Amino acid sequence: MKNFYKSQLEQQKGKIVWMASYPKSGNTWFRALLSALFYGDVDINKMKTDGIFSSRYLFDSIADFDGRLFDEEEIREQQASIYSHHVKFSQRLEFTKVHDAYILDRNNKPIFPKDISHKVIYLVRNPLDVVASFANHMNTDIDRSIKTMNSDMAYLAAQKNGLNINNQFPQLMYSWSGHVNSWINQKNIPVEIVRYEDMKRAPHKTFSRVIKSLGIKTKRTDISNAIDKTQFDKMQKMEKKKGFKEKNAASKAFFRKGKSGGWIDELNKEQALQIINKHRKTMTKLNYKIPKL
Amino acid sequence: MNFITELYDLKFSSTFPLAKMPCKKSKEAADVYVKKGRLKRPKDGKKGFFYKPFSVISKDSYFLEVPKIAKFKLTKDQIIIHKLRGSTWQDVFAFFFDTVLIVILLMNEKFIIHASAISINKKAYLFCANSGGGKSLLAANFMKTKKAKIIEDDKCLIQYNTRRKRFEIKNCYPFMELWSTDSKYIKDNNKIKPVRRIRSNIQKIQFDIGQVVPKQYTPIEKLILVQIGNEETKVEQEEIKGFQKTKILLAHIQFEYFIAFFQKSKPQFTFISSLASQVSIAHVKRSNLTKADDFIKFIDEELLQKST
Repeated sequence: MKNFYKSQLEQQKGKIVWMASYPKSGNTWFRALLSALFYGDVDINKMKTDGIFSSRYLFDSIADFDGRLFDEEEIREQQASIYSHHVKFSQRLEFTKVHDAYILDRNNKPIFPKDISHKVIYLVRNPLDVVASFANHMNTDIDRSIKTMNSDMAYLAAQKNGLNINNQFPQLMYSWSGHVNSWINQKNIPVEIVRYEDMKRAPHKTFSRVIKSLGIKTKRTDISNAIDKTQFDKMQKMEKKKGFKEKNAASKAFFRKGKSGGWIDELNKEQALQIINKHRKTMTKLNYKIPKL
Repeated sequence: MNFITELYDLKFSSTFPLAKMPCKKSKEAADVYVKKGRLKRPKDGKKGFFYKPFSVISKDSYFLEVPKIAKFKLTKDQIIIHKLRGSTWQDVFAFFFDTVLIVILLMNEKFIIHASAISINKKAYLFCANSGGGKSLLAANFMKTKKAKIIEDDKCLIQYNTRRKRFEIKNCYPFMELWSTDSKYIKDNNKIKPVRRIRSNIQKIQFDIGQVVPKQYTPIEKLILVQIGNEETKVEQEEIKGFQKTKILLAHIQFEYFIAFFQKSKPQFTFISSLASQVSIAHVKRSNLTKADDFIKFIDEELLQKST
C-alpha cells in the first residue's frame, strides 16, 4: 500500500466502511477503484478491500463453531459480535462489501454495529438498468429479475429448503426500494450516497467526493490513475483473460455492458412499468428521471 | 456406574449417554470425564487468556458459549456442560461433537485431520478440505459409483502402526452427517439408516454408518487435499513436494490455531511431518464455479483410477 494512504487508513483502524449496495450497482467497480487508489494497481481477483459481510469463513473462524449449524435468525444475532471482535485486530480502516439490507435481528438490534462503523458508502443504480444486469448475474430472465427486485422479502444466495451451507450466508435484501431505504433512512451510521450514473458521468469528481467524505486526503494523479486502471473495458478484459472469482457460477460474465440507460433496449414497456410502478417514489428521491412510456 | 464411550482413541466417562453414541456402563477409569454443571465465562483481562466473542482459551483450559444453547468448559481430562434454558440436548450435542470434541482431542494430542475417508480395495483415500470443500460429497458419491466403503465422514484420526510401519485409519465416529442435498447419494444403501437431524432447525441429517465401515485398520494410500480458491472453473492438480506437504497438512488439522495455545506445536509437527514424508499427497484446486460433476469426474479419473 502507498505510504501516503497507509498512514491515513491506520489512523482509523478499528472501524469499517460498509460498501452497501443492491447487486449490480457498481460495488465491484468501486472496490476496484479503492484498490487502485491505495495500491496503484488492481487485479479483480485480488481486490485489496476486506471481503463481504456475509462471509461464513470469517464467522466460523471467530465463533469457533460451524455457522452452518445455525439458522438464519441465529446467525444474525451473532454477526455484530463477530465483526466487533474482528476489527479489534485490524491494522487499518476496513472496507467491507454488503448486499444485505440494513436489518435488525429478532431482538431489534442492528446487525451492523454502530460503534465500529465509520461510514456507509451506499452505491445505487437506476433500477431499470439493474434489471438486465441482475438477470445476467443470476442466470435468469428479465421477468424473474423484476420479480426479485419487486419482492419485499427477496434474498441473495438463498438456498432451497432453508439450507445454509454456501460460503456466504443468505442475504435478506428486501425489494430494490426496500434495500435503498433501509440504508439511507437508518440513523445509526452516516451514509454517503453514490449514484452509478454519477460515477460514469463524472468519475473524478464523484470518487474524490466520496473519499473526502471518509476523511481521507488524496492526490489528484492517484484518483486519475485509479479511474484509468478500472475502466470498464479493462476490467472486462481481465475477466476474459483470468476469470472472476466473484462471478456467479451460472452466469456467463460478471462485467457485461456497464452502460447507463441501456435498459431501453433490454426491457419492454410492460417490464419497465413494473419497475417504475413499484419503485417510483424511491427513484424520484434519488433523482432518477421517470421515463414517459 | 458411568457411561463409557470410546471416541477417537479416548475413553469418555459420563453420567449420561453422549447422544446416540454406542456406550457401555462401567466403573472403569477414563481419559476424559464429562459432567453437567453451571458455568460462567472467565472474567476479562486474565493474563494468559485469549478472549473471543464466544470463547476463552488459555494454556490448559477452553471455555465456549454457544449462544442460547450451552456453555462448555474443558480441561485435559474434564468437560463440564451447562445446558442453557430453552435449548435441547440435541442442540447441545450438535456443538459438542462439532467443536468441543475436537478441542478436547487436541488437548490430548490427538490431531484430527479435517477429511472424509473411503476405502477402495482395502486402501484408504482421504479427501481433506475446509468446510464446504466437498469432502462428504466425494465420499458419498464414490460409495455409490465405485462401491467404496466409507471409513470416516468429517474428522479423521490417522494413526501410525509401529509394527507394520505404516499410517492407517479406522472408523472412530459411527455417523455420517450429510446436508439434505447430498443425502441422495446414499439413499439407496439399505445398510445406512438415517438417525435424525443434527438440530431440528438445520437440514443436516445424521446417518448411522456403523454397519458399513471396515472393522479393521486400513492403510492410507493417498491424501487428496481439495482447495477452493482457484479462479478458473477447471480443476487442477498440483504436485506437492518436500516441506510444502507438511505445511499444507498442518493447515488441515481441525482448529489448528488452538495448538499453539495448548503448547502442542511440537508433537503436532512431529506427527504431521512424519505423515507427510510417508504418504502420497495430491493437491487439487477447484473454484466455487466448478460444477460438482466435473469435480467428481476429475478426482475419479485423475486420482482414484490411476491409483487403484
